[in-house]
Amino acid sequence: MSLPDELWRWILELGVNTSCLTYKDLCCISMSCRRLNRLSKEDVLWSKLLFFDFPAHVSSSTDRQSPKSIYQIRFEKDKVKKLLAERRAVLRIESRIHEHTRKLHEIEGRLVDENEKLKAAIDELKGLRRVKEASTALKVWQPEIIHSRQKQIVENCSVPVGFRINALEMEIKLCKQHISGFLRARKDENDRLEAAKERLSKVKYHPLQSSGLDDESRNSRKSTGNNLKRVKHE
Amino acid sequence: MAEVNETDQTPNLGDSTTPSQPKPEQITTTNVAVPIPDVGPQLQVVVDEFILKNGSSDEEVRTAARNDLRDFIEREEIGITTLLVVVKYAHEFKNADLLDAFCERVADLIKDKKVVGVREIFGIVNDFTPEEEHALRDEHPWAFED
Repeated sequence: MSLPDELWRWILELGVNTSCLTYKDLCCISMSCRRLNRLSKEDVLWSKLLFFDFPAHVSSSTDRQSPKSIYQIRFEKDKVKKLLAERRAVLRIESRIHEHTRKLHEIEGRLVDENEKLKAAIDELKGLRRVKEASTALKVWQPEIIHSRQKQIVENCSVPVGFRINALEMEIKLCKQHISGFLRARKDENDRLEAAKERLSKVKYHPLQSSGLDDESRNSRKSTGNNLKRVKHE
Repeated sequence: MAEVNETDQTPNLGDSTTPSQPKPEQITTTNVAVPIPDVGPQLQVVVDEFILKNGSSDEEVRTAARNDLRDFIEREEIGITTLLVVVKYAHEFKNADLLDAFCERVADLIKDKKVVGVREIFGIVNDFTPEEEHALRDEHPWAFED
């Protein structure tokens, strides 16, 4: 604190010009003690911040307010605008998420049904194969007990075995195709759902700009900071 | 050790607080070595080297010198007291580039700190009354609502 005012001013100016210090920093500094309160309010600092953060603002000669107040007003207006935009975006994305979720349920339902169909077909096929085996076995000599059992199996079957076996094998193939189709569709829909959730988390309001943009513009300002301050007083 | 340019002015050794002292950005950098009391010999060496290299007509050498100085300050985590001492003497000896390098570092230390943090770093005493502090907090909520 043993520095003269002008050096403190220079530190603050340099900090703002190189985008090291933001509106938040200046506000914190202004609350630390009287002297820094005075120094951090200076017009040159806040005019610079206005220029960086709200360049669309055109200062008219009738602006009787301090740059700091103007900055605050702009900041708050911008916040309201952005919060509304955020609200709209959130509603939009939430309805998409709802849609994706509904579709996923539908696909899950179809998967369950198709799996059941598949199981039933496989079971029936097993049974018919046993019948086929039995009818083949009847053509050769067997012990009487086995022979009569096999005869029973064959007689109990009321469907044309060969025909039905073919039909079932085709049905099983089809079920498996459907199932893999549903699995793909489920994955796709899930990916879409996750992407929407990701978008939702990013849409949240950030002061000034989205955080990604903020860092970029800061880095570019750091390198031009030197030029800015040299030109100022020439 | 003192390397002097043709265009330099005699360093203003005596009074550093005269009102007629030019604003920092109007000072031209002089290549006078800046002897700084109370800082470690290591820092003095680095500062001297910076001043030397900064006098070069080669842009690359100057940029490298600036980066080296910056890296050194960061790496060694030069304390705030030392930084402010160098700032004062760089200003006194009218070395704008040296001044900037250290001022930027000070600004860096202030960045993203809360009020308490700022006070802590500089050993600032809070000279506001509780009412004033309250009023200030009321003045600034817009900056802190996230």
